[in-house]
Amino acid sequence: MFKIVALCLAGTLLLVLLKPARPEYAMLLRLALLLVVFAALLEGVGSVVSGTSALMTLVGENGEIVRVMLKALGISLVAQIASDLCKDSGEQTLAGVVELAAKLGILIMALPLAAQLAEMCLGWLQ
Amino acid sequence: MEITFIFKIAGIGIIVAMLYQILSKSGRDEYAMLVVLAGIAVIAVMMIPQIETLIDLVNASFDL
Repeated sequence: MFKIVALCLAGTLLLVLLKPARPEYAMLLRLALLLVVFAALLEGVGSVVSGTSALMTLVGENGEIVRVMLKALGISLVAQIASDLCKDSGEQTLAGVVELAAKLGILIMALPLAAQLAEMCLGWLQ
Repeated sequence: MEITFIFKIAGIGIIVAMLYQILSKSGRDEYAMLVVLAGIAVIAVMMIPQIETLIDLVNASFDL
């Protein structure tokens, strides 16, 4: 965790140095910093993912739901970072479009689950 | 490996900023712009493998 803090501080310092002189390089440096920090972040996420999936297998056969949840988590993480990056460099509309695409992706992924839920409810009613 | 990657890119940025100043002050503005574009291209090419490893990591950890 401290590695990430150190990385971000060093990167911010370099960004402040570069921004007035060459703003486009500040953008590229921000992207590189993002790649490195996100990779460092993902090491922690791996254990979380395996922990939750192990926990969920106890619940029963619906491992499918766990997979869809994890996918939604992954998509929302990436989309959040991408839209923040767009906002940083002043592109508000692009940030909105990225978030819209992520919502669409998650919605498409969740549709079969909704159908499954509907069937379950109908089964109980009859 | 990561921190050197960031310093490499920051170094390129600083060098190009200096070169731009030197070239533009000595009247060669077109060369200065060419140096800036070259720097951007170099950094973009350097970043492609990094992006690829990151996407693989994301797919692996979230099994997308």
